[in-house]
Amino acid sequence: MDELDLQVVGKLAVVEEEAAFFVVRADDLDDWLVRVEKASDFPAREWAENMVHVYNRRLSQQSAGPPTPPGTRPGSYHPDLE
Amino acid sequence: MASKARKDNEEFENGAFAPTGPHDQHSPGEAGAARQEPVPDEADLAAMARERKEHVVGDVSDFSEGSHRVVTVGRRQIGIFNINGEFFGLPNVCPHQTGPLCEGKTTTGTLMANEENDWKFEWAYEGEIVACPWHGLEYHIPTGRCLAFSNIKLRTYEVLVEDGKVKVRV
Repeated sequence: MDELDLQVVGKLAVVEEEAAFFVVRADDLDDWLVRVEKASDFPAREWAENMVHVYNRRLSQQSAGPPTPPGTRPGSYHPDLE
Repeated sequence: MASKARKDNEEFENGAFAPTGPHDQHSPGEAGAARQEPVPDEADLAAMARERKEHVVGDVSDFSEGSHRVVTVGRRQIGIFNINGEFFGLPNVCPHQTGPLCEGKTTTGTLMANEENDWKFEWAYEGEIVACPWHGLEYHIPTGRCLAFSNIKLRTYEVLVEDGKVKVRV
């Protein structure tokens, strides 16, 4: 990816606070992008960590595209019609 | 101080995201290693807000009513939206698979149902919803709230109009 085209320059990181996980720029932990509220029925940590993992992997692979192409679903999504 | 910039998250208005109280910063991967910091008072917070820099991102005429565009401010892209003359800013990255969420061509509304209206669907938030062009996850622009997962909220950047210029405060 051309740096000029990057949505965020540099890697992302997760910061945990009392009530939420924050996705932040790794080189400035105060510069947050997304807040994921903790709740017993919501995988907040997983959402935050997945966002960071996906973005950092896109950076390292120099890939501008999505890991899962739009419109696609895993094969297990559709019920077996036969 | 971690709490400085993240005070923005307390602006979320519908109660889904309550103020977080004391902000013990944990470094990534160091859960449990809290660093105690003093809680800022109102004067501190006001001073912190003034410390945020304003960045000119264009002329008002560049952002016609109902339009939006992505600008680069420092080390991140921000989507600037003009909704009925009021300006809003969101990070151009979707929490789902990090798609360029503010690059969706149009904004829209959404169907809502609530008890006061006997749970009948009605169209709401016209022009206030943006959908990520990659997989369609929708967000309420003024609050940054994700419609499908209310626990997820994007940062909302303050956007000002002064002397015909549009400025983002980061």
